[in-house]
Amino acid sequence: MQAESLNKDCRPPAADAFPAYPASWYLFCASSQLNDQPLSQRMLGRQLVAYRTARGQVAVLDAHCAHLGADLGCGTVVGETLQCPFHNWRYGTNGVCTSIPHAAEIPSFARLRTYPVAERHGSVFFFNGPEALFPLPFFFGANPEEFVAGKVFRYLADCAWFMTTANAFDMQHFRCVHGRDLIDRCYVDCPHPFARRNRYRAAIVGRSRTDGFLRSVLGPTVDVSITCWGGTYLLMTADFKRAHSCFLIATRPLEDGKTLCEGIVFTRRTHNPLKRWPWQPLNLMIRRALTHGFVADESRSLLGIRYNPATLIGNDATMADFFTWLVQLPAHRSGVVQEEVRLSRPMAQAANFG
Amino acid sequence: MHSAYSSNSTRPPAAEDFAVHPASWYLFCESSQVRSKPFSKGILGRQLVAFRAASGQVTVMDARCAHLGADLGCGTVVGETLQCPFHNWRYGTNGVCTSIPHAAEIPSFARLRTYPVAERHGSVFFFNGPEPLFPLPFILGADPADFAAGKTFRYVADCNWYMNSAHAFDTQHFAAVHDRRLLAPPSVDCPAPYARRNSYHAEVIGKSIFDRILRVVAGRTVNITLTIWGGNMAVITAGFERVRSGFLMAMQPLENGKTLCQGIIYARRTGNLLRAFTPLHLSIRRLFTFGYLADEARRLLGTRYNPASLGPNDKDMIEYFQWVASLPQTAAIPINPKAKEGYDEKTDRCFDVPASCGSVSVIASAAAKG
Repeated sequence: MQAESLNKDCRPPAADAFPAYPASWYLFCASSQLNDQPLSQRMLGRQLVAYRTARGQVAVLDAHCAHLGADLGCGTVVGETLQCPFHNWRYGTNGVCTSIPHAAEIPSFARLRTYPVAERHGSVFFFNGPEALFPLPFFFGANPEEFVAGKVFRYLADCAWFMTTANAFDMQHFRCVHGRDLIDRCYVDCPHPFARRNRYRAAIVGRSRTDGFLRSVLGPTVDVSITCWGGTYLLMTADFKRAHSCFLIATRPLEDGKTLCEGIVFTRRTHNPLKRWPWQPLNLMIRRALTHGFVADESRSLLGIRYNPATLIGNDATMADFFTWLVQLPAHRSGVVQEEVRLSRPMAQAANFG
Repeated sequence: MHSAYSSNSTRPPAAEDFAVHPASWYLFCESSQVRSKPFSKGILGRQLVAFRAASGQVTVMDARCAHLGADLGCGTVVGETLQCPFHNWRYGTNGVCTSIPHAAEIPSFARLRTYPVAERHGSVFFFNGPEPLFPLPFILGADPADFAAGKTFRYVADCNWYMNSAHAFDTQHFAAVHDRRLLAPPSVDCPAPYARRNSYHAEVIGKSIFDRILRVVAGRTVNITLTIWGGNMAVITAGFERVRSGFLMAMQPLENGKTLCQGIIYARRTGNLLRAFTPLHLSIRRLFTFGYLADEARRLLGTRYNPASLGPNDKDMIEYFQWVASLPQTAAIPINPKAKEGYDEKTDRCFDVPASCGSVSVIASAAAKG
């Protein structure tokens, strides 16, 4: 069955070859949520906490205190440290406990795992691993400083994370789902060891009102570039004849097998103070509405899709190549934090050595 | 009698002897729900979709596209085919994929399981198997075309499907729950393969407002027949002295072990002038029947099958359980473990809850173990 459908050299990987929580950047929260208190939430199978120190630095670490597991999200920020609400143990931004009231010494187990953090355009991102394998992605050749971002939009995709991002390389679905007819062919390359990019030119053939608007106002064709970083983080640019659009989609696997998708639209920062208000916020709102409609519409019509290597056919070669690329990413096979180990320390050690 | 009861031949079957989803007919949706768009929902552990082709024929088939599993309920009907929303694969009424855009050939796996369908009185039914083992049940000896049907009513019974249908043979509960005093012993027979009937003559002795009205309007005594088809379809007729009533009860096992009961009331089509009163007539019948049955479901929460606790008084019920457990089930279809179904009592809707990708969590737990 495989042989008749797909070339031997691009045989897609088995479903269990994909990690549950790939090594990549994830959107944790909005910067404004850390103004005066820490924020903890369950993410990637762990409870994580973020806080901003007195100096303004943001740290993301495991949320359960090393002592008795209290959630540090209920704690308080004290100078450069986060204080546990239970026995007031304090943790620095490196996760090491710096003070325990009335204790002669600080035990060696009093340290928490920390994660690399990046803050950009009012959002806090963290990397799921001990160190970031690639910098927080942005559009190639563009300086984040020169862009302003819209409010984050969210939608839920009813499929695994790699099925969500594989849509970027699913050439067939652009016509069927998005009303985009491919002109010529697509160009796939890897501009970075952790990035895979798809570029194509398409005609807007959809019959929806939005597509009619796009065709008449912006132009009949569009040059699209989609770059997928680490398998979870998508950066998209769309060049119409009379407009340029760019946005990112940060995906996050949920524990029920679905994927949370969070999108941010960008526009170039204007240096004309007269244009800054109200045009720039309005501009971002329009872009956000059009982009959100474009991508969320897809997730509403694609319910329950699931990866099945045996049913990929010759048409799906670009997508199959993406899957193959994804599972060979080095970080996906080693040292990534996959799931919380809910064991006491001696038991955890025994389990590791056993 | 007592010695016969303790012998093997009258021992009730074990709980495992019952099929999870018996091979039978099930109510899928209203005809109006498949007017222009397809309709999909989780039922019997699978996600199924119904669509009406341009020619008017209704098809029920597995809802997950053979390619990447998209729900065809979000797709569109194109002529005699149903088109997937993802890559526009098209499936005919026999479940076979007829077209894939830009593909040289159609792979052999591109086909979906279809189910026998019957449409009657504005409802779409399907049979849970490759071939129907018996026709869609109706009042015996009556022609469905002579009858009009009321709006479907629904309630959830807090017990499994065979406990629910066994009520038809639970002589004891007629007096205890329904306030009907038996005037003669009930008679049980099998009028057709896959059908088992209980007939009895009873007196309406309840003090509820419904029973008072019944005694005055319909009559003091009633001849009841309850015919169970396939274990989950009940056709009930009640002949009072002055009124005749008939209805269908389609039961559907839910994943939480409860049973969704959907009832349809019938009334004989009348001549020209009286036809205007048929909707009112049906509403009144529906109200009485719904009240009668749902009241039972509210009072009997959490009933459970326990063969060890059935006694000699339950003889008819034990024999019913034996009959149900022995019905051929070869046509039943394996459950798709990836689909989970639920029923939301608030919105009165069945919905589908796709399970998480099992293989991924296996990897995750393996990684956690180090």
